Amino acid sequence: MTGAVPRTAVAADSGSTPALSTPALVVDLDIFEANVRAMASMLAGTGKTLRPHVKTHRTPELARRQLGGPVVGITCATVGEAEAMAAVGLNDILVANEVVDPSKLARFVALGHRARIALAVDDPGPAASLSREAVRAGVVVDVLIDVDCLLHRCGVASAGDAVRLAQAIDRSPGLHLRGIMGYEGRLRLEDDDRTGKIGRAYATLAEVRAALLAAGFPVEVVSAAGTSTLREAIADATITELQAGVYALMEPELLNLGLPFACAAAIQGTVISRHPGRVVLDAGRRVVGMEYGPPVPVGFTAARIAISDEHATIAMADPVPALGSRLSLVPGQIRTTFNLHDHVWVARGADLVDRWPITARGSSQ
Amino acid sequence: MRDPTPLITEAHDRVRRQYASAIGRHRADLTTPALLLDLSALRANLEIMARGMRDVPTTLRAHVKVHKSPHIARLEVEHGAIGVGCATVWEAIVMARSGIDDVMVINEVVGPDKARALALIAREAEVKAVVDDAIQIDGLSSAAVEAGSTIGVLIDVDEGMHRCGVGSAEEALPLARRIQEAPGLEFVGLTGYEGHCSLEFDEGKRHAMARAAMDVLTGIADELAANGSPCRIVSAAGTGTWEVTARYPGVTEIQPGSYATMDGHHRRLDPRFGWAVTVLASVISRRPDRIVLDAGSKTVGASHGVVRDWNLGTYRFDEEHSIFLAGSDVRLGTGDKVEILCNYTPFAISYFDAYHVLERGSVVDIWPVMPRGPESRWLLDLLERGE
Repeated sequence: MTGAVPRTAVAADSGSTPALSTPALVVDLDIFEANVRAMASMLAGTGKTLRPHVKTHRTPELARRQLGGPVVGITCATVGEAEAMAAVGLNDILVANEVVDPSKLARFVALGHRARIALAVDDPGPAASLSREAVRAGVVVDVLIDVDCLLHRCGVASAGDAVRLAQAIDRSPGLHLRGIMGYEGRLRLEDDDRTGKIGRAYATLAEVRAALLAAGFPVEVVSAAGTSTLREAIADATITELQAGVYALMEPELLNLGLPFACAAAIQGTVISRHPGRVVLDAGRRVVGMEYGPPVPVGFTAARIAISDEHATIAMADPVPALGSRLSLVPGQIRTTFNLHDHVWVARGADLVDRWPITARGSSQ
Repeated sequence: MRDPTPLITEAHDRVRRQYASAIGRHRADLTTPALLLDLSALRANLEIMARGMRDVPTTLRAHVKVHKSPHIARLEVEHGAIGVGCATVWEAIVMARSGIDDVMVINEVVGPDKARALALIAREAEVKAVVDDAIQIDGLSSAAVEAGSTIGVLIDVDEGMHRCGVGSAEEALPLARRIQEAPGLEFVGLTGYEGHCSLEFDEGKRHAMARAAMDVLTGIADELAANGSPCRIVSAAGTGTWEVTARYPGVTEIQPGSYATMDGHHRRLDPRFGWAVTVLASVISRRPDRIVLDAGSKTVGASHGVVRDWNLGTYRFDEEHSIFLAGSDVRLGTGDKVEILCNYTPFAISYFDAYHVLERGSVVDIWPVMPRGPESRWLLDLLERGE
């Protein structure tokens, strides 16, 4: 973990609102809004658009507050997320993921009656199913060909495959080939050959785009990038649209990239047991996403944080905080953290101002 | 056991409506990712534990934090558990409202809201709590007096895990006396959790560690008894140590949880228990060398898992995807369904709102995961309203 201490809300027992019950997820709206503004500034004058990935928080109230400026719509990972976002009026939605189940495709195209919708495709089979469902629903669906540009997950692996898929899409009623997408994955500052990897990923996107254009297909959109590769994507000539999402809430391990974003969300816990040199907080793995390592303390120093199911055992200097004290931790992985909570408390500085449902929590279907 | 109250039956009705189209379907026809509960595997696990408990002088308290399911908890009681253990007061409220009479929060309860919640639910069921500090005792006592209820209290003992709990009889004695003198509280005994043993896969070493942990726990119980604070309950153990602990002289009850649902970690510790809970996933992308499933760390949890019935190497787990190495010899294509066996099932359960309950491969019911939490203060509001 980096030495950088994230600036974030310790929040939030003051003000007129009653004390929240712990463990609780708290977002500092001032910081969140500053992150959104900083992103708009970064993109101003670049000609790039932003389609924030809302799988980060699965929270419609936060998604609404990311609109404006360079934002042309939102990105989702699942049909369930897209449904939750469309329900609050978000009307331009890309599901940047493969969907193959016919019942899910039917749900997806139904959203086309109230939003412009787009789906990632990497295989002619699901494209044909999508076409059938779109025709049945009487809507037109945008399609982006998913390109495996680095991650070896989904996506076509070659320009030839992309052209063949484009031909299949072109013959399919109800589908409109809008362009391509590729996600290069999280590339940390300390990753080996970071610059080379990003360069190769974007070269692959450029090659696929050129092949499609040469074959006579339009490529209106090249959608890619996450927060970790933001600068490189802005500087790239091929990419037209960014899918970053974490920027709005940030994660500690990305702070060393020097981006103009600060950590905006933390888990608040209560000291439920105290011992010499150690306190135990009521916040464990079932409320804190751990994929990127243990959470980072806010406003206090910990020698070590050990996380079990329901507890964070924190080694710290004596005198340790009193029983009942509130301590905050910034999760290493913000997205899985949000998916563990029903709602997020909203603070401005030290004041709790609201509580918003994480409507798409668990919407992995 | 009392009947479940409307809090539970309404939640059950809600998820049955939400997943109505899944009921009656074969597992191969379900929308994914889905949390599966194989009812016959669950019953088999409960029966193994029930048989094991017949030969030992201790009783079983099923820890429900693992599954957060009123329905599974009731089955555990039907299979001989005397009651349940919970990690939070919210779980305790749900379990009491599920009709279970003996509910213990095996965790420190701090803060007036949570003490109040526990004191209110103690009007409806026999409720116990765990402390390691005088402040918790005072908080529980005033809440119980205000609610007009009685809370049983156990002292938490650190058996070597170094999390919560007192480490010596010298620390425990004044707490026991304070509990005995506190209005609204009843001193019940000691509890400890030898969780550090469950990280040791060598059975001989693990059992030796568990016996050392029980030495600490029962030693403190003996000291308390000799000093006027006899322990009616001495409770410990998890699925990795239950057999040693259940036989250890001086221990009166065990509190395992994972034995019911199981996961990869606990199957390495005790393979007699089978897979009752898995995650159903679909192949959403088929590449020449790999398959991509629609279940990743946001459904399976950070501790990941493997594909059932297929010996596939793991390539990577992402949030919405897991990727397994699969060459052309692996006959899995786009749209095929597989089950993921989780390395640690509780993390997966935290990500879902309901179980698809299967018998002979088809969905016979939908059971809620409850409380989903973590912050479930609405349950206190409900008690305050007298509902």
